[in-house]
Amino acid sequence: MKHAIRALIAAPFLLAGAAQAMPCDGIDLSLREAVQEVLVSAENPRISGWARYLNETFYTEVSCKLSHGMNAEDVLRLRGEPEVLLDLIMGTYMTRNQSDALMLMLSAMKDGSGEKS
Amino acid sequence: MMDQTDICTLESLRRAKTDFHNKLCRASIDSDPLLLQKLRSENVFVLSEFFFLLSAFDLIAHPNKLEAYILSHNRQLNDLIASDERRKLMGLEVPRLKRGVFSMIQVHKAKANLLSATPGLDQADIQRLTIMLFSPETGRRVIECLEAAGFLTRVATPYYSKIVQSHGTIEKFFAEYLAQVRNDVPQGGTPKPEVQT
Repeated sequence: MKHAIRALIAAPFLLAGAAQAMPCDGIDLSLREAVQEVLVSAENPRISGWARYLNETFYTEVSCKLSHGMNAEDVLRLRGEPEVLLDLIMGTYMTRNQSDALMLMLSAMKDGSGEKS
Repeated sequence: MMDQTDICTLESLRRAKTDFHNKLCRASIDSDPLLLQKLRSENVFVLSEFFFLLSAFDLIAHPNKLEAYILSHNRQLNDLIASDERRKLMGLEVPRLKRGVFSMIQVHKAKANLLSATPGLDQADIQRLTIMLFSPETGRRVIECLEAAGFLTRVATPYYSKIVQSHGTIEKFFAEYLAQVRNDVPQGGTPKPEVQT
């Protein structure tokens, strides 16, 4: 949760770095409204408070980045889980190294195949 | 001081990975520049590794093996959910990890899908199994990209699920990538100790 709140606080500062990212052909207003609704309606007052503080530029940029994989309906399914949405938003700004997760996946598959991992 | 073996090893790795992506782009049934750009992404490489391993361990052919894999996957996720320190090291959040845990009903459905007329993994199951690699939304996007390129087929079922079937090309290219690394890397270096996870 702390990480999610930090992400929300850091989000406006990430916008500058995201300027060179993939451009949007058009603004999906329904997606932007959905993102805003999920964050503003968060039960955690710190998230909902910050969500009200953030401006249209933030929501437009975030919607643009999310639109490459999600639509408004997908986002609204996360109502009640704003942390998941924040995690997704952060994921559009940073690509994490996946080597550790790939090692775990290989280990689980070895278990499945009966080989000792 | 330059170690020639290190440089050769690095060159081999880079060359093999570049060749892997070039092969994907050449074999794509659609040459749309945006699709080819996506085919060169790291997430495509990672999902290809996932499909290669599924095939290498023969997990799709045997429901019991798939079950053992899923249960091991669940244990890993639950361990990470319980371990604040390890989770932070991996940069993952609890809500995301919880989205990857299979219920017992979902485990049984995944096994049943292998015995159906169109055997394969449900897209939602793949999204759960790759939750540590990327979000379900990103997973879907990569699957769609590989489908658009003609490497996967998604079969809609009457139960609102989408069975993903690989045509085997990405697994073949991934195996060739590994063979190329193995063949090109200079022999005789001291092996590094295995990384503990």
